[in-house]
Amino acid sequence: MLRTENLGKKYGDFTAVDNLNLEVKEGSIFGFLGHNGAGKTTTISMLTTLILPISGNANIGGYDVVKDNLKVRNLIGYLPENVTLYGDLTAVENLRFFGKLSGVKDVDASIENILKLLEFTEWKNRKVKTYSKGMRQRIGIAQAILHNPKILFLDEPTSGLDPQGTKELRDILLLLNQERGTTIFMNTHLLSEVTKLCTDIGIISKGRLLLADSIKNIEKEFPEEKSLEEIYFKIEGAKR
Amino acid sequence: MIIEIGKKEIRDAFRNKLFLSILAMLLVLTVVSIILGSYQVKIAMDNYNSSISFLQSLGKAELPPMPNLNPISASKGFVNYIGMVGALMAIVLGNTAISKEHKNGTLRLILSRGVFRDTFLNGKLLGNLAILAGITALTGIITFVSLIAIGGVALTTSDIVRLLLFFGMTFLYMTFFTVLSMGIATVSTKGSRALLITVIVWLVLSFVFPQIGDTMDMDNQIPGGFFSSMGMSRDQEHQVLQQFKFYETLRDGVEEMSPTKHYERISYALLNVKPGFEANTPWEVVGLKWINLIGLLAPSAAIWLLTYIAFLRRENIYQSN
Amino acid sequence: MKSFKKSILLLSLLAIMLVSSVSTVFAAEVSAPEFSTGCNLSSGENKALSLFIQNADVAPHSYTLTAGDSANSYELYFSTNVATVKSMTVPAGTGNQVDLNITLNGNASVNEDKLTVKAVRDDGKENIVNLSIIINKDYALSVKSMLDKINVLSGKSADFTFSVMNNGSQDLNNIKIKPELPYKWFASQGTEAIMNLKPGETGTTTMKIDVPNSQIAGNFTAKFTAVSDEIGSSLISVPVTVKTSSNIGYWMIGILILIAGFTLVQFKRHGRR
Repeated sequence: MLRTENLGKKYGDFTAVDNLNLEVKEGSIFGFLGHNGAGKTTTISMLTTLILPISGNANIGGYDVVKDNLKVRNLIGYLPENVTLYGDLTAVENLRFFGKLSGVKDVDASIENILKLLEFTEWKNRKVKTYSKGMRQRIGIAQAILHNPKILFLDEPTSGLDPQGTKELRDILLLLNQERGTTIFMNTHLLSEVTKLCTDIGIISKGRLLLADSIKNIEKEFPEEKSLEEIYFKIEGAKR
Repeated sequence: MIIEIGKKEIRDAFRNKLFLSILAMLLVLTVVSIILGSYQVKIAMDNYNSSISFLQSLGKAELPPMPNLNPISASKGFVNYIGMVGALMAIVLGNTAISKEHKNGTLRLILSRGVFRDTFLNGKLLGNLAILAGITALTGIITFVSLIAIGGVALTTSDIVRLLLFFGMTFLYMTFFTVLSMGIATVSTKGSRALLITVIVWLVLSFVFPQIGDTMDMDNQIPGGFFSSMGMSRDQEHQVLQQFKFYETLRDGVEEMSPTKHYERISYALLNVKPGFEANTPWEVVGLKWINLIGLLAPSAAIWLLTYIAFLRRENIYQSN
Repeated sequence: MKSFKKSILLLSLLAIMLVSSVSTVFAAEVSAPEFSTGCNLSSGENKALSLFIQNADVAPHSYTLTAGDSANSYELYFSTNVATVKSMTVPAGTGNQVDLNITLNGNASVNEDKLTVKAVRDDGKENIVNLSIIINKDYALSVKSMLDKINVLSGKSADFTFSVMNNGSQDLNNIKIKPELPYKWFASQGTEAIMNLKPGETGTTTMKIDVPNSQIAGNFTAKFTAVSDEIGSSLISVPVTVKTSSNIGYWMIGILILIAGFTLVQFKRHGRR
């Protein structure tokens, strides 16, 4: 579903992503782990065609993120970190706008379906600025999946959510993955979420990919470590 | 896509309190200035009619012809208001168009859709131009209605065409500041900083540059005129000015960089506020003042193209503020 | 210094000529149908006649002034030492002076003309004075532009060609064209050109006028008179349309095309994003 080859990005002298080689299988939930400033958001920005890599290439669904950017955009859904949407618009108005930008045919019917799926119909006509963080995040997910993307990119989706909100979001993502077969690529630094949700992980530090594999394989590879947290710190520590 | 983005711009503008406040201010000023102008025309008409009645009552056969009331000059005050309030409104409109996407973090969402960066900018511009066109049309209608209902004058075809052309220039003038504001907001990562920079640029273009033409004129350095104070003949004046040719060219060049000056020049010519254009047809006035038309159009086009380049190349456009 | 002295002398002479040519006419309370001596006038020459309006009434009155009923065409207006007037209020029992300014337009059809000056009091009472005007045909000078209208680009020069004619019966010497131009316009050539014309003769002369770069496009008027040692012609106005040089437009469009080209290259190189 997603493959990168020697993908790189620099901001001036600072290397944000360095020769990233990554593969994400279709139908998987991929957790991209790393501490703040490790290069997670830069990677997701390149994969969602928002910024250009300076080296290497990346393919999503067989399309190059630079050359076939429009085709890639049709395949992906994206929820950035801390998105607030348009506060003065209702959930439906927000979704209608983004649905039209995504070329959704029967946009109103699609909105109804998504809102039902996310159990959000009750609040659909309230202005977004009146929502809690968890509700905003749900509407954020709704706009990202409105056009039924093959792969969903989420940047720190649980950031700022309370335990209840985090659980609800987790349930939604599992639902999407299981019912719609949506591949999920999720940036996070919360290891507990990864353990509960992801099938595969990648660990990035200072722009370099340290490890990428299925959780099962990783646990086999590190039999002495009791948790993913220990594995993470071992790999991170070794790198440092 | 362009249409969708444009439509949303129009809806958003009417939810923007700052924009609505400035628009209300502009409309109030427009109504006041046009009504006052129309009343002046009415007073002049009434004076003429009463003097005709008086002369007729005296049995005079030879009556003076009707003076040129120039009803369209009732819009003179409007030129000044557009120069200030209209420009400010256009700046707020252009700045908000871009900065709200930064503020809401929605730029990433829009550009991760099937929307190219140029399409995004074009949609924004289209929406804002539609708003400006609507405001221009509204002020135009107020003017026409006031002149006819209050001024009580029948406008000639030439007057109507001149007024329509004047409102066209008003639209182009406001377009320049919207484009400038959008351009600066696109390049800048902070909306508030972009707004401040745009306002400073506006002040320079609208108030500093036009003043340079007058205040830096050698002859204006001494009250009563430098050359006459020095007792110089026109030949001597000519000789002195020949020595300052580069300075004079520079001074004129700076003045030409002001869209406000271009707007005033072509508007005053069209409205017959500036004498010397009464005998020309409206299109002849535009033909004579083509440089002012280019002076309004070319900078907008150039800034828009530069905005394209900046937006196409920049990577750090997603920082929110 | 010499020219300064010459100017002073000329000015003094002019002042003496003006004073000597002014006739004083008294407007009576009743109509005075007999002709009063007016003035001698040449074509294009300006004369001012002082008139006194005497209000013998016990109340102040406003007088509306008109002048006309002449065979020749004159430019006529009333003035006080402050401004041009069409009417004036005279206090009870006093008199006010008003000047009637006369300029003969074109050539005279009759040599001995009359002019009726009316002062209509606010109560309808009319005072009429008839002035006689003797046209001096010895010296008459006329000037006209060979072109009705001149088009010029800002920052460029325009040639104004004039036809000067001696309409009098005496020789006219040292005829020059004197321009009255808009601000910062200059006559760069032709101001020193001198002509001598015999009666009935016509001469042509050209003056080059420089229009400054800073001149914004529009319609302007350049005024000219022909002046000889003996007499001056009437002032003629030549409409001048100043257009903006196309070079500025080409520069602007060129820069725009350059930026458009650069934008296109950027799109081609980086593609749409």
